[in-house]
Amino acid sequence: MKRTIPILLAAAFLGGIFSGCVQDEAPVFDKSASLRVKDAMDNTQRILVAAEYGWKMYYYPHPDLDYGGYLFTLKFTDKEVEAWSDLFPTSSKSLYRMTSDNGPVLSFDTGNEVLHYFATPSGSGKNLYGESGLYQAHKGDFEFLIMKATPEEIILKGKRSGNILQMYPLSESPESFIQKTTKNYEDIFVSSYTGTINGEPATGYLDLSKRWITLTLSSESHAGEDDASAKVPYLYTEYGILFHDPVTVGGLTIDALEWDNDTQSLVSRSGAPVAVNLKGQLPPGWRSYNDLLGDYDLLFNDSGESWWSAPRHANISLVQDEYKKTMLMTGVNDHYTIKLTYDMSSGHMAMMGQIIGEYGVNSVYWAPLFARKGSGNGMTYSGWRSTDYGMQLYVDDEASAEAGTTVIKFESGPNPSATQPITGFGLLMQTPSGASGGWMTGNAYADWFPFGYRGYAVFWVSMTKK
Amino acid sequence: MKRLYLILSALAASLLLVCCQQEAPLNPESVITLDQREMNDFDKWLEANYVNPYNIQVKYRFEMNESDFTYYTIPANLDCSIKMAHLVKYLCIDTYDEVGGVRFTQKYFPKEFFYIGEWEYKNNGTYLLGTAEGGKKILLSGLNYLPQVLSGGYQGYSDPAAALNHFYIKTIHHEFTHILNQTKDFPVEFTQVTPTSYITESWSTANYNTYYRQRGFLSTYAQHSDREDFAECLSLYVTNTEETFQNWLAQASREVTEEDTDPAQNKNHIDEFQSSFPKMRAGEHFEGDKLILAKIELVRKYMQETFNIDIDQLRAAVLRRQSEVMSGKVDLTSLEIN
Repeated sequence: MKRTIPILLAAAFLGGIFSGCVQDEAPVFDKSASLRVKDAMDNTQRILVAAEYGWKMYYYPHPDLDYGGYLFTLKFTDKEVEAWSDLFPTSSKSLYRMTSDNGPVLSFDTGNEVLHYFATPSGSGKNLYGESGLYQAHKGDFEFLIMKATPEEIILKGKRSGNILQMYPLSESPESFIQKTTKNYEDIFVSSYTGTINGEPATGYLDLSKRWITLTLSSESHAGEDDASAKVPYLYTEYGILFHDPVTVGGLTIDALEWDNDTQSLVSRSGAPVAVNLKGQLPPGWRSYNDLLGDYDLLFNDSGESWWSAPRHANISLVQDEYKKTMLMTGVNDHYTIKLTYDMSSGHMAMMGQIIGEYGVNSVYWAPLFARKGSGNGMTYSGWRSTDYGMQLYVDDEASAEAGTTVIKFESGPNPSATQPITGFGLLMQTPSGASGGWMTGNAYADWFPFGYRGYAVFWVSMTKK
Repeated sequence: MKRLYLILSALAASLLLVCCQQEAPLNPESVITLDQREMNDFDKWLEANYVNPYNIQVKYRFEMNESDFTYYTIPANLDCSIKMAHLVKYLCIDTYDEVGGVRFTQKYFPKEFFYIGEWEYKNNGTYLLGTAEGGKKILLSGLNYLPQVLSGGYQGYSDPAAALNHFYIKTIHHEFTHILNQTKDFPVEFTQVTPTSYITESWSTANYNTYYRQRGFLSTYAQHSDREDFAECLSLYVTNTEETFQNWLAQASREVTEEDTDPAQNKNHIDEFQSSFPKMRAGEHFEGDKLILAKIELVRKYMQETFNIDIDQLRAAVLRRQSEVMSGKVDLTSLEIN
């Protein structure tokens, strides 16, 4: 004991001499953390504003990249940012700022229709984008950690998704750049492609709504190989499509494809190490939007007759509505027209339940119907005040070849159940409180009946272009 | 030997005390950096209309630290924020100035507003309107719907004034009531008017959504607790006309009919009816009006005696200002500073 105490004290004493006064550890950084964050913010803002033509941003929402990618173009001033994307026809302006809540952060901190689309949630009702049921939005970001900022490249990291985003300066105006991008987005409407990758037979498949591409080496020699097929999210850009990251198919690495609109093909970019040529395959019955517009001879049954009796004829027309998206069927009745939607990738149209007008205080549904034979010559219907059910309209290639003109057939689209396919539409009212106002049956409603016949419902058969 | 201990101890101790005193002079550059921003016209307007007179901060730009990460939400559109700031000023702050005096508003009105563009949606499709924290901070959500609310028709509200109250303004009066209650608690008598009818979180369930007025509550949410009931009483009273209020009283005291008492006719709500009014028979009258009126009287007394505010005068001011806004007399976009 007596010995230990002096030894301990001596150790403390010596320890003090050797370690206690190591002064001024050389700082790793020459400035404090907060000042360095501030410098990073100032520097980034200078770089953002300095780009003469603004920036393009490769934006990927959702941690699992479920929605593919989107190219934004952005122009910054000291206070404001203006943003364009291929999803919106016009740009949107808002404020932005550099902040330091989590390291240096670029935050788009006031509302911007373009930039905040993927972050906008919805409940059971429709939000301002017409969407519903997305309480976690599309899991998109509008606050980004600044990982790197140089005049040549900015790397950001989404605060919520953790996704890495790249930005590059533009060498032309943001409007003209996004126009080229949007044109490719609109022109590339075919999903299926066949052709070659590096001389070998290959196929491509674009999931157009989710913006993912699958590339496959299709020859049997590759069957069963792990990397014979690869799938990757992409975005539309000024020359075609750019992949989220390079994919390897059969040992060949591909990171982007150019769109050749003349041949409707996805091809390798000049200088790319792997030659790709994939030609779009139009599905059977595909017709362009413009091909489908025009006058038709319609064949139908109406509810005034037995639905199995000989069909009647009527003249109708398909006229342009929202280009490449919707068209209007005219000639059904002076009180209303019926809207059809056009799907560019299948070339098919759809007629869904819809509100077509007002009768007194009631609104009138063009209500999808299921009809079956009742007792005797009568028939029984079920109908729905729903915009979710309807019919598909598609071109029958065989019948068209025989007739020498476009022949469109009707078949049941989305419907309540397998035993209740949609066969036609009828006039069904809805009261202001949202309750059913009953079918428009009886002579009081005669001037609303389709084609001036006795019945308030029609069952579609086909239509032949004149 | 003892001396050696002492000397060594002293040396060791002195080392501990002195050896680290040699420090470089303090760096004159502060490491505290605030996000510096130049004020825009709206910031200047806010400073003149909110900060300087009332020390109220309006955060119209999104801040991660103010937001609730449970929810996905977005920043408010700038034009909507500008309109909302005018509306809150004209319909709430100026109203309390007018009725309670500037000192009253300065002292009690919440000190911070945070605006966001969307509602806070839950995974069941429902969503939260504004919320308040600790009587100091009010979150106003769904600002980007303001143009739809003002032009009428949003979520079936044909009357823009009613929609404006429901989605935003009533919330402020409601939360403000909580702040007043925290300053001076409301009378115990209030809790005794419908002491056994408070049901906390069950208020939004189907079993409590039909006969609430007959049970003596102005809204379904008022059934939550006496505290919420009090705030609902005041905020609904001052944002609705006497005519609407009388309609509510009439509903609360209507005659019981066979549609209430007959399980075959009252399929959906018979349970609620029977458990709330086990002894009521067709032809009798509900007596919710008496309960509601008793509560309103206590609210009136509380506001008069504690804050010298006449709730009818407050209501008149709220409604007058509301109609001035609706008739377009108030410029909601001007950033001129008077």
